[in-house]
Amino acid sequence: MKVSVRVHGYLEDKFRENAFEINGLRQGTTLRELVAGSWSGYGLSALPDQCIITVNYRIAQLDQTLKDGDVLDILPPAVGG
Amino acid sequence: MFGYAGRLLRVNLSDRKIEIESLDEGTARKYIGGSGLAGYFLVNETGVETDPLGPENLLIMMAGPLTGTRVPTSGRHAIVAKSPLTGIWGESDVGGTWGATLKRAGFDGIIVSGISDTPVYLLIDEDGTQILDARELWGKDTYETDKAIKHLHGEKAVTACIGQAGERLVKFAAVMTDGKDARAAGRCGMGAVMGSKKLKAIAVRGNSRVKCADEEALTRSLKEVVPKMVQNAKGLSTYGTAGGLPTMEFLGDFPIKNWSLGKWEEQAKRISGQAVAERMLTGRYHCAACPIGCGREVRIDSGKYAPVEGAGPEYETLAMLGANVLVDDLEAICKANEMCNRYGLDTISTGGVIGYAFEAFERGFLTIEDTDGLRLEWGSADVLLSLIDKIARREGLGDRMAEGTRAFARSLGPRAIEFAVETKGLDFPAHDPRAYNSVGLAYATSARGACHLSGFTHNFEKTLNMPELGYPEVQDRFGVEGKGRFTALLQDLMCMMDSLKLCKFSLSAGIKLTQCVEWLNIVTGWDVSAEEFMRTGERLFNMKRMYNVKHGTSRKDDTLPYRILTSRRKEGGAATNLPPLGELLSQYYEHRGWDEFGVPKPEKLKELGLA
Repeated sequence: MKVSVRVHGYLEDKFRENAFEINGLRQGTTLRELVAGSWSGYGLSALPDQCIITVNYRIAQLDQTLKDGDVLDILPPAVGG
Repeated sequence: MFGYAGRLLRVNLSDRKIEIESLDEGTARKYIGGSGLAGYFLVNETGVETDPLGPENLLIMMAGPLTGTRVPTSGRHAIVAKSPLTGIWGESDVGGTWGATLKRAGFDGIIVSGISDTPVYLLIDEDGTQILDARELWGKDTYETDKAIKHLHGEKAVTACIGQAGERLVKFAAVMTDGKDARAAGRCGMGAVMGSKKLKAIAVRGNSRVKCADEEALTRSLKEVVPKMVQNAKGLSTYGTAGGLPTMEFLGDFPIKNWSLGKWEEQAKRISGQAVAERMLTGRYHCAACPIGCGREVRIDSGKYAPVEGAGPEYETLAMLGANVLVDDLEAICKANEMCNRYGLDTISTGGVIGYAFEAFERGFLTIEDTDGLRLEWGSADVLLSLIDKIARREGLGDRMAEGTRAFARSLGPRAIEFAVETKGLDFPAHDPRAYNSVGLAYATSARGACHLSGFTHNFEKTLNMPELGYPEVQDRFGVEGKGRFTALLQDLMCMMDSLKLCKFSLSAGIKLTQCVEWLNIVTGWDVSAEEFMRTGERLFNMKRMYNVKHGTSRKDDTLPYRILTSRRKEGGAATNLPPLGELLSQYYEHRGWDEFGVPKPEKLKELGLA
């Protein structure tokens, strides 16, 4: 299973690449598992608390199960003015 | 009484009468402070007949029980009056150091009535209150006014003042505090109310300590909580409120071309908090007792828009004076921001009415004859700056725009109302209800008109949770079921934060309801339960609603602009969603105990002690 990841705003500094794919995920992988381990190989130093992750533009919960072809976007925390 | 100075200052500028009245504990516990306590006086002492710019209107500046203490992010105060922009409940919330200094001068709040014959300013300190001649200050901008007052009364004098926009009664004029470290009470035209009273500034000096019932418990709490807050709010500290601007753009939560487009990705990067940090940031500043420090200090020494020095633009400003008018020149937006700060203009409504004017020009509702020869073309930074100048000075077209988007749109004919983006006369802040259903409901029902802070719900559909209210997880932003309860509860909580005077960014730093209650009790020595806390918030929300109901507000006014209700943007992070307002309102009224027209039922008012 494969997912695409895009990184936005100042979080770009925390990754080696702004857009990459993660291959070879097992069926049933959750976002929590991905955050905990799988993408550390892509240069993520530390994902700040409260950053936002969307899966196919829907804001995701960490226990969400991923599907093949999902597009993940990692966004800086945003509170607005 | 712990947490309170226990005194309110009343100044009638018509007869120059100054009185001090006591604040009793019963009233304090029922209405807390800030906009809640200020509202108690506004509701009881003004009404339908009150002209917002007349002598009977009150200008109420009120701190909260936590203001002036060590409680983090408590350096805030509220300004409340009947709004000249909307004709209903007017409220503006502001940080800085003015509110904390007022408490240290021995007052919880100031209630100003009447109109002075000549321009005056107030000087308040522990030695007394003076009404002083401001004829030499009239005509100065807010930075100059702050500097002049500090020259006269010392560097410790903290000012809240108006610029030329307030003097000329621009309906969305702001009251600015802290000089170049500008903080704005921007919304609802509080600066025009101050200008109508010929009151140029209120300067405060104070050194006394605000008494806390249990200093040791507060110290223990701060040791535990503050480091976590600092860690959680690191992005806000480093990049300011605009650090999340690319996120807003991505989510479709961003006003682009007068709220008509859904994507502006590359341009958004150019005006983000990160771009500000890389290109012009010289420092950051904190409101009183704030460990976060989201305030930006910027400096531009060269180029077309130099010089710029002082407060940098916030997220709302970058969105409304940038994306909403398609200006992606960061230096130009910084200049526009500084002009608004100096003139004392709300950057949200200024960006709103200018975006509206650009579209009106494009659609032929305004011609070159109407605009004094200006071509109102999207993306023109020079036109943006010219219009700010004209609005503040009420020159030519600017005089019409200074009445606010609603009045300006109506002056252009019925079809021109189609693309006016306001609710109850207040321009939308820079969050799009099509990106969060709860935001649509919150804008429609907020007492002051379109307001993202009265519910702050978008953050609970994006990052935050609030287990104490039954929301342990982030909510689905496009969901409908249960959104009436969700929005109402968060509005009640925000009423409390606006009354305690806690910054809502403390929530983003990890603060929960339980912590707010604990701090209130530590400071006051009360034994408020979470239930009483939320019930008080509900009382305050209903009090504001009833003020508006008496002015004719009902379900017909709890609405959103046509563009937001009917127009899908077809691209971006919220390409197809439209807030289902009818369904949301019905849920909401039922939860609130209001009738089908949005009027609180008699039994609800009785239950809340408002009957």
